[in-house]
Amino acid sequence: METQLENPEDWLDKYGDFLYRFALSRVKDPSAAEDLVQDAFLAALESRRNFRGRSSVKTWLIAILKHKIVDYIRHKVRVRTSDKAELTSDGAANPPPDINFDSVGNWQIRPAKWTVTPTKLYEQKEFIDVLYRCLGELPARQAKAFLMREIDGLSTKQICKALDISATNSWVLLYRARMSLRQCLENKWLGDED
Amino acid sequence: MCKYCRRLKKQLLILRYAARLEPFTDDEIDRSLRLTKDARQRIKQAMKDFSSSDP
Repeated sequence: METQLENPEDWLDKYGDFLYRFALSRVKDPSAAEDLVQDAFLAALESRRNFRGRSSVKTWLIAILKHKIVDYIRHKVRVRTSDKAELTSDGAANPPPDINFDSVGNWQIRPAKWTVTPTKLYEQKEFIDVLYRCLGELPARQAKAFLMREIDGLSTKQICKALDISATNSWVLLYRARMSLRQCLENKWLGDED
Repeated sequence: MCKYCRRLKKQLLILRYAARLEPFTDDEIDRSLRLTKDARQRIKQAMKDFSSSDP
């Protein structure tokens, strides 16, 4: 059954505090969290005609807010780093896809054993914090492609249209985003070495 | 599937779950945290302004 989009005038009362708490838990800055909630509501208003009712309004608003949070973190990362450092950081966050393997396809950088389990992620606040930091460090298009696929559940075709890229490009972006994220998480939040 | 391929697959699955995670269990969240009155007013006004300028 499709969800009907509620009257936007009710959004603030129904979801404002919830979204604020989520934003605050990610950015740890009350003023920034307020701005993010406002940005999310305005973005939702702008794109409300695209709401297809496949999720609840709350889930839809959270997804929009997550995009805003990642944009905010990316902006903070960029402001913190000098141009030179930014280039270095981009390089680190965006390794060539074959860095994990040697020339004959054997593992060069072996994935570590992560101590989190998918069903217990709620208990892993630190892991989620690091994930958002890592998302903020991804190049913009990689982050967007990842969020569109994993949070918004968009198809390859929809991602290609939104980012104006080919299907092959979208697969490369997604591959690099995933590999960069897992590498970033291993660097900043390491599981058990084995 | 090789040992490290399995690990990679699990890591990618965790990334997906983590990205889709919806906020908060009850004990994780401080429900006393709310938008301030000023912030609420500002957001309301911004939404009203946006709506009135949106065809």
